[in-house]
Amino acid sequence: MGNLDLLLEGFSNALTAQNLLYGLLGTFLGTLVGVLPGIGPALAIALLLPVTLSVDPTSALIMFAAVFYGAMYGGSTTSILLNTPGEAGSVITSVEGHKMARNGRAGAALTTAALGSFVAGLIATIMLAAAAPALAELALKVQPAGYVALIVFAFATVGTLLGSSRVRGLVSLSVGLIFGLVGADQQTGINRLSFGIQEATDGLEVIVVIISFFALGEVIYYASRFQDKSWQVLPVKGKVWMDREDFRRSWKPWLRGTAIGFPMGIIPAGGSEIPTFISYSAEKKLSKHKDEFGNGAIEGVAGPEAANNANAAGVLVPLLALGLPTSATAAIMLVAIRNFNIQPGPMLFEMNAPLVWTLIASLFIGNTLLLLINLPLIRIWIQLLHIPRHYLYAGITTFGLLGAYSLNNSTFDLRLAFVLGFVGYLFRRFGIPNTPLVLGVILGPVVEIQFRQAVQLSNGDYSILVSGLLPKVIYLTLILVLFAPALMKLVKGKAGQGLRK
Amino acid sequence: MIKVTRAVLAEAIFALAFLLLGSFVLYDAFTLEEPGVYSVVSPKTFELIIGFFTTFVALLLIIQVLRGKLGIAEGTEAGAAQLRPDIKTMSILLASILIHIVLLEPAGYIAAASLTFFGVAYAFGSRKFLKDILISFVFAVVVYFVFSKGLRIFLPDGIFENLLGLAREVEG
Repeated sequence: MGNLDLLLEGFSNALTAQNLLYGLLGTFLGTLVGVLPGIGPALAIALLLPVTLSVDPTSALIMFAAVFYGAMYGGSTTSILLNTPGEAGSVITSVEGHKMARNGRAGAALTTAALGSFVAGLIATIMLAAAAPALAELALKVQPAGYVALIVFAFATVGTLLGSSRVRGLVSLSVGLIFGLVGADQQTGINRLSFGIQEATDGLEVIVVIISFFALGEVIYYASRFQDKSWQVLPVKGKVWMDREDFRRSWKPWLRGTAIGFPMGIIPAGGSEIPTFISYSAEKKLSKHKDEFGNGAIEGVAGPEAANNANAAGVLVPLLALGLPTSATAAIMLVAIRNFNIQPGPMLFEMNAPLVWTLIASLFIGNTLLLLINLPLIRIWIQLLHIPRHYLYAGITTFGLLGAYSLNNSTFDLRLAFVLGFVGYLFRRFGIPNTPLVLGVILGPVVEIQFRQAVQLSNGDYSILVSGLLPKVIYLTLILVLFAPALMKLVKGKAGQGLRK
Repeated sequence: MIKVTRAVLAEAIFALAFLLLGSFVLYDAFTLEEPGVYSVVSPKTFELIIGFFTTFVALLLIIQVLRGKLGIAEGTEAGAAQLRPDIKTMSILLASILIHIVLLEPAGYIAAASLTFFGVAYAFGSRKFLKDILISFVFAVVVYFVFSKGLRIFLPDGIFENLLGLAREVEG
């Protein structure tokens, strides 16, 4: 069967009344949780994971795809109306979007974000359907040493390119790797770092780690900086829809944003904010309304929002084809998919073809449902922003604890969440990003398996790790990526000094 | 030398704790029992790599702190991070989480979740007691009902579950 037939079959699996209902529920919950300030897509998905525990795999995947796009979209609403972006990918949206809302054009900003997300999601999912199986086929030829190189590349880029400080990214990564070590070794059963605690020998539950750092840590941080001032939510005045002029100015940024966001999602370049920044500066350069930038230019919302969504879909390509998540959101998707005993990676398209194509079909469905449910309901979502802060944090805390407990019905996980939540607070306090940690916990054990397989293949000769074309190319690229900015700075700095003289 | 402020001291302690973590991983790796089964790469190898890596990163962090490059929490303006943490709010919040952990299994989900919800709302400055008690309880009951009855996800039964007649039948 060709891929198109498989996709159509995926659609026929996904499009049952029951599944559509789960899809609607997922869109609703995803948007609901995503709109709530302080909750980005990654946490939204982690919090909603327990909801899917008792649902059958197909319905759960559809619900998940819907939650995924819903949370992405919900986040942009918050950043436009509240100017406190929940996640890095929406930072740029809030620059122009919040200005538009101030000028009484919140409706147009929200609509261009919604339509842009839809268009980008649609195109990017088509590209995903084409690229992922092709990449998976290529990936079948990748040797363990190649995998080790790929993961090291992902670690290095995500660890050092995110956030303001390289060292702090690496701090996060190493804590994640240490968490990944805890428990019985997969091959020999020897316990590492488990302090003789029975529950710890099974390893730390990834979702508990995520909930602790993203939900509890964040709430503790807000508590530490508690000042009794409330948010100012900007009202949506006038019409919600955008006019012909808005549309004329938006469609090109949507397409350009998609073209920038999708490929940058595929390469593990780290972080969804980079494509949004690139899209923003591209729109600023190309715009005929340069003077409006900084004062609420619609292109500055349309482009980055499309880039953000296309990037999120692009990240699913290495996730499905290689089992390699490169963002926190993708990492949680990986955990969610694994929960159904499905292992993403090159074999996925052969072993679980019906299910993976159902997932891809679900992404199309989720994306469409989102448009149908969000535009008409926009005014209801906005009401969510008026929830008093103390109830919001109370809800996040209680729900986070529920998520931590219900994975294994164990109070050990709750105690763990308490301790890790405090560590998460310290991370937040000292400006240490969370994403490298999540990748470390999830990919640490994976890289160990590949590392061992590689060295076993060569009978203990470690030089196998850098032999072969793929590892060599990857490590060389890595060196270039890591040291090029420093070199550029050096050259520029010298040039600057020359000028000053 | 840099001026030793509270912020520098706090971050220095954090960096040292991180160094300690790295050393501990190394200690754990060196004292690991030998595997009974033969494997080309022992579980020690990877732990050693991570331990050395962590220690190395910790040293880099300490150097940064000593050079006065402090971490700034994302989303805050420079200087804002130097604010003293609000210990009172934090303590009430942490206590509310602890209550949940202690009470969940003996007292049931509704009791534990109501108290946590109420406590966190209180920590964040809400003083409308009656309204808060009502909202906390309704929130807990709704969550219990949706998860336990609707999604059939296990949540411990206790005081209120029995009172409301919601507790699941004891089998056997």
